[in-house]
Amino acid sequence: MDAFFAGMGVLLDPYMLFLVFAGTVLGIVVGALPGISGSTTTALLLPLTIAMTPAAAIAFLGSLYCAANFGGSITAILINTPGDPSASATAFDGYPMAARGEAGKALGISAVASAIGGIFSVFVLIVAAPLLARMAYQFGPPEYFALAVFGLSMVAAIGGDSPVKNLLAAALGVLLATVGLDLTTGVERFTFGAYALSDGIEFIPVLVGLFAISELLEQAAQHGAVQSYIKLKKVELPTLADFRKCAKAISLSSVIGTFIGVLPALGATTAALICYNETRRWSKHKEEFGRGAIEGVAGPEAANNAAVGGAMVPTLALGIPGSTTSAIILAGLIIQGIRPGPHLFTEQPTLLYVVFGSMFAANLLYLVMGLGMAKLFARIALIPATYLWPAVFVLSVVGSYAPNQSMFDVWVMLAAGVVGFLFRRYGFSPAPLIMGLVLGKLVEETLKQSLLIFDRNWLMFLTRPVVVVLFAITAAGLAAPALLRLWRFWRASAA
Amino acid sequence: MPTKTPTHIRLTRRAFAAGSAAAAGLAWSPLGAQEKFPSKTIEVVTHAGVGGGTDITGRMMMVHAPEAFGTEFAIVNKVGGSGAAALAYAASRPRDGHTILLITQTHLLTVMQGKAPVKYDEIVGLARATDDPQFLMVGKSSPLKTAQEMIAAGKTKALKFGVTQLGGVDHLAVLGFAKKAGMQAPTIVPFRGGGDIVINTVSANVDVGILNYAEAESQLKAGDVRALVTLTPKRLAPLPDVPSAKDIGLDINYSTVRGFVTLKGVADDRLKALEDGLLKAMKGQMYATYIERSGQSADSVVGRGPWQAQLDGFYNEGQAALKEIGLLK
Amino acid sequence: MTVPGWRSRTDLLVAAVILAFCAIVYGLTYRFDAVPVALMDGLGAELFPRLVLGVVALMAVLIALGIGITPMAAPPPVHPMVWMTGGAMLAFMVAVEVIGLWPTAFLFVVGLGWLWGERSLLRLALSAAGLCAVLYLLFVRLLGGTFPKGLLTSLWS
Repeated sequence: MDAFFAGMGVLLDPYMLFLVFAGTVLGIVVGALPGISGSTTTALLLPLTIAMTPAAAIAFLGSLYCAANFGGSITAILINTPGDPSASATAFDGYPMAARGEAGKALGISAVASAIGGIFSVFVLIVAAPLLARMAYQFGPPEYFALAVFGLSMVAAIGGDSPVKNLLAAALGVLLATVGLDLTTGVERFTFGAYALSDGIEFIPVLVGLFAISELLEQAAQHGAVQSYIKLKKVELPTLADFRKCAKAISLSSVIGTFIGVLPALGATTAALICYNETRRWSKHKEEFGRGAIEGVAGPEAANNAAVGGAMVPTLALGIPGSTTSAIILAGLIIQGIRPGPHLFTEQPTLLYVVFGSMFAANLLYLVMGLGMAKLFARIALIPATYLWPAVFVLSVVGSYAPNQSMFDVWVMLAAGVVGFLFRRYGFSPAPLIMGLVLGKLVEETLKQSLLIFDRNWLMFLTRPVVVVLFAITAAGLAAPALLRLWRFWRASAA
Repeated sequence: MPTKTPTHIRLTRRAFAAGSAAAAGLAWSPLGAQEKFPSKTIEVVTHAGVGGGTDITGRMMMVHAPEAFGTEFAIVNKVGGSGAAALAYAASRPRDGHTILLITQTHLLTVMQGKAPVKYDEIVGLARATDDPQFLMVGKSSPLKTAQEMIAAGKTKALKFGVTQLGGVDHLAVLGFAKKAGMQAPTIVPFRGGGDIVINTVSANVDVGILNYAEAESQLKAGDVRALVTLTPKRLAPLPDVPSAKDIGLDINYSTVRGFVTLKGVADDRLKALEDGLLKAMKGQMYATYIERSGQSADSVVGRGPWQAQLDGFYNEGQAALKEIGLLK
Repeated sequence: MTVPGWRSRTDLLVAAVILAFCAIVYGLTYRFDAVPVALMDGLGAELFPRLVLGVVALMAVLIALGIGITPMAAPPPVHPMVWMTGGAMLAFMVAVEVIGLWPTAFLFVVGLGWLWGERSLLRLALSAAGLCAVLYLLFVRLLGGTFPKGLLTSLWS
């Protein structure tokens, strides 16, 4: 407890508070803009933080990391342009909400869900990090394979209304994920000799194209049409009833998001997508999903922020980074002379409480700012289409170009935009495609690694308890709707 | 994607010609007084994305570089093609010393396989930045207690080795070790990064993992993994009890190295200026701290001579190794 | 109409396009580099993509047969403005190579806004300039990114 108060004492210094504030504001901005992510910013600022004390550096980077994952939802909701891959699931329902004039509501619930998810995961980090980190050792390729299969097993149900079309879109996503160097054979696939493709297709251009550019083309068809529906409703924040509706989604996603965040090979994007599925699965209003369900915003947002605290668990307790951003924070810690590992929790408790405290504070801060500014931000949705969408295009180009400084990625974005436009026209949804793209690589790589580990004996999968449990859950999830229908049918005929 | 390479090379030649013309123009001044160098921002090209290990090394060097050189520095991240994109970009720039590359052995392997628009003899070493000895490690539960036991076990069956990239530096190190030690051809299990190898070594999904000290530091301290041998001739200071390859009678030297190079065509006095400046920047306190704390070998930073020798050595060995596994005809 | 009522012509078209795509990509899998025998411990590089292509093709066949989908009516023709907007984007890509990113971005915001029916060129120019200024400050000044300069611009610089 002494360490706790000592940590809070360090944090209450005005300079530290300023750093947490600066980190949070910066995090929201870079998170919201496609093309600058939290990880890029932490890397760019790393040399700067070395001049600070360890506590100050970590407080600054930690709060930036927390806020960046929230920032992504702002652009995803307002202009259908996920500022960060982890916000792509937020766009599924966030943008439809904004389009029908509920931008304030969507932004508000995103801030609240993000903060709850983030704070929950920070508590888990404080209480159970050393214990939970051991779990990472239980997850080898076979377990990740089973988890990825679980994630993909739900694609038939999300997105459009036809399971066949959803599966097709998901398979296309998986196919897209095979582009680039194959890890286990070293063979380049579908790269056509282009360096830009050898490490696989960049997420940001694909997401920006699928969402923002396809929406831009859609808007083109309605140019000049008076969008009265947007102007009619005034910008309002979520009500108590909305929060009550989302309570289940937020709590479920906070737990799952933290768990997925702890696993080093999976990050906030996977957490958000899997939680989007789970939120839908356990929702009473499945039919609203994809058309602006408020739960569909709350679930993934709680999840991707919960994944932040989760990712810090193996980073601090094992010295194994749980995400790209935490890898850079880890490098920062090491250069500062702090050696992460189980002993960190006993040797430097004060510093740990500074980390926890600053992450906690950052979550509270962006909650306040997010709610305070939601009304202001929501006005972006009121900008006339003739001004807004050309600007979105420029932002999309800059955002796709920036990470690799490559025009190739801009072409990828345009191609993805055309695909997205055709998808809408012919009744496909981008949601399963993104699931496939995110999980596809994991499925293939972990399957091949597992077979190498098992000496090509497929049955060995069944010797791993975690795999068996995950497969069982997957099977139950797939069979449940059919069983439920059977049960209803039996009850109806019995009555 | 149209092949950009030829245009780039042509552009380079033209730019190069223009550069020489400019130099000739300056020759009115008495005895061709040299143009000031550096005269503008020096670009450091890396294959790593922002935040990658090599990127961070570059940024650490850059902390002191502006004072050492009296000019600005900028990192250019050209990701893709295992270094090919970075080399292609550097090849497209004028050879005036304002473009340098931070490379790893991976670039050389890429060049060997003809996948980059640059030949090996165009690469000119400037200074080594980091030297990270590689270790073979096993999990706590592994029955293999010493390097000798591991070698003995590897003679009766193919052991599984966790490495980072097929045909990459780790892979070649494992093959080189196994061959020298007379082990059976090992089963290679590639992973995405050092963290994955650590986890799968701890949980015994692979028999042996090839890792750097820093990657497994926390697990070594906690006793979750055991380092059996370093693949270099010298023991590493933080692990004094772990035998070196020389100690167990093997003449090998595998470490992950990063260093600065430029492309052929830069005037000799500029090469010297770059070498001096880089060495000065890396003697800076920030960089020294970085080297020490990230578990790199203390004599990481060396100048042109030894660095070029190491590059040449690796190039020749790597070529032979790639031929042997069939990745090079 | 030779197509039976429950089977939609649009769905057939969609299925045909996807199957053609699958055929092309399947052909590409034969052009992967061979893996040296010494390294072939696990599954080959082409196996997984082919498996996935099989799933795509199967789903396309289901769509063609009208199984598991609601048959689609033909969508309305693509609005001319969509074509023009697409054309503007292509023009953007060409212009970037010639006059560089920032001038192109400015012209695009003004031009597309005008095309979409906004008639106040002054307001469009102001908003375009503001947008470019903000993005330039963020991406170039703050983050040190470099953007395409274009042929013309590099001639006089």
